Amino acid sequence: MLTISNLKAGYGESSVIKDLSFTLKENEILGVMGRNGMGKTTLFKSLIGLLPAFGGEISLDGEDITSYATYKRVYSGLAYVPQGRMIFPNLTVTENIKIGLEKTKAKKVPDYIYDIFPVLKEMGHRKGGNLSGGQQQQLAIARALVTEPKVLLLDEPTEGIQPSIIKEIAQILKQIRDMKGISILVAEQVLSFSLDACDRFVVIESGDFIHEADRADVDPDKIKSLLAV
Amino acid sequence: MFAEYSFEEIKSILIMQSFGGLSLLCIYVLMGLGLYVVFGQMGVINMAHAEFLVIGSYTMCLASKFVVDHMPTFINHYLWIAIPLSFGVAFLVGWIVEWLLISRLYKRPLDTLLATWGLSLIMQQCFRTFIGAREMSATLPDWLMGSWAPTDTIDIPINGLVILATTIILTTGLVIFTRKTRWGLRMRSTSQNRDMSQALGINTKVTDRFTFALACGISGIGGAFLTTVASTSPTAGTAYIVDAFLVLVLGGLGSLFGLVISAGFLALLSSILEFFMTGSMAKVWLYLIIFIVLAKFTKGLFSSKVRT
Repeated sequence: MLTISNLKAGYGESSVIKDLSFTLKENEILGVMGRNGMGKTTLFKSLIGLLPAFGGEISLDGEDITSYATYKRVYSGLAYVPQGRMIFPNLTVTENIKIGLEKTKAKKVPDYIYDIFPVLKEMGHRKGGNLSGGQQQQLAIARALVTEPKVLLLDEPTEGIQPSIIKEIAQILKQIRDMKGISILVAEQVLSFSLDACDRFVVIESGDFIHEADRADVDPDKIKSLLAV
Repeated sequence: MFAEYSFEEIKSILIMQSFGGLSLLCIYVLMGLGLYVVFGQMGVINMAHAEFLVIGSYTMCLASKFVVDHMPTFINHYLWIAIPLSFGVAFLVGWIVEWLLISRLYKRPLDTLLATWGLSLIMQQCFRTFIGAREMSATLPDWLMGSWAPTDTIDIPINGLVILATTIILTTGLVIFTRKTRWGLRMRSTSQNRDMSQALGINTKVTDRFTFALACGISGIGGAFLTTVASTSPTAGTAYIVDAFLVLVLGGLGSLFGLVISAGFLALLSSILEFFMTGSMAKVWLYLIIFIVLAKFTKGLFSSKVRT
């Protein structure tokens, strides 16, 4: 599905991601675990094209998208939910979702979005900036989902969210994967969330993967020790 | 100050000066609308914005000259072609300026300020070189001249009414365009967060270019209407640019409603003050009042309040 080969990325002359290679399989939820500053956000920004890759290749369903502008990657099938959600604060909830309809050119928000996130229907006319953190996270996922992606990239979806909502988001991700048949790459620091949501785990440190485990043989203590400061 | 006037006279003066200020209000709004889009939405301080107003004025003047010279029977109707033409020429120049200059400076606001100031000087010199340094006026249709007198002491100029109607139509059109169309949504999202807009599939380069050109085009329309109340010259726009920025800041960046209210407030106040004192003293009082209002409402009168 999404294949990354020898990816190098960073800021200016500073290299953060160093020669990273991995594959996200079809219908898989892959958790990228790591402490702050280890390269999770840099990896996600370079995948969606907000940071240029210094080298390597990103291919989606066999199509090399490395040189594509960000908006073209969305047309190819990538969707991005950034860290901090980046809701458009002065647009209404419905308008926020409608921006995601740029690719499909649909006029109306698909009904399944409101089936998954009923609160967004109730708050359709409210400004995005006036929602709670949890509601904004749902809006950010809904907005990415309406682009009809093949791969959904989520950067720390639990950041600033209360524990009861975190469990709900894990369930929603699995529901989306099953309903839409898409693959999900999620960056996280909260182990309980990842154990709830992910099929496979990798741990990133200084821009490289230092540990990988499938759900069947994951050792939570090992990951916890790798995430400890 | 009021001792030499009767109550009826003061009432008539206030009403007529208000209508006198109406034309100014409309020019402020038309110029402010362009700034609302380019500064309020894109965050670009375009010091050359006034020159796009002048482009509109010159287009109108040259169109009227062409009609007078070659198609004199068309003089009563050319306005309906000259105004869209003013929009089109200013839009086209704006598109080219965004492509060649502004697009390279989006993350460098101070450089944009300097570059657009330089651009304004270049444009003014181009007007002098290719059109001439002398003031120029458009020949107006007969139906636009004269006035309407609802009472014996009140005369309302017809050109003021036409400008008012056009301003209302344009402002309403811009509100509908930005709120109800896909282009409008693209413009609003790109102005709020360029990276996130791209990450949702919007080609922000084209959106920025269109937005900037649209702002210039609207200013061009303002310039076309300016010729109905004043003559134009290479530096004609500079008289309005500071006031237009003040209108925008006073109303609150990003608030179209605030823009219209503050344009009305400034234009009427300016017009009434200028009747009772010299133009310079009227400006002093006007800026003092704005200073007091902005000291109290630092983000303008109608800024939006949301969690970011």
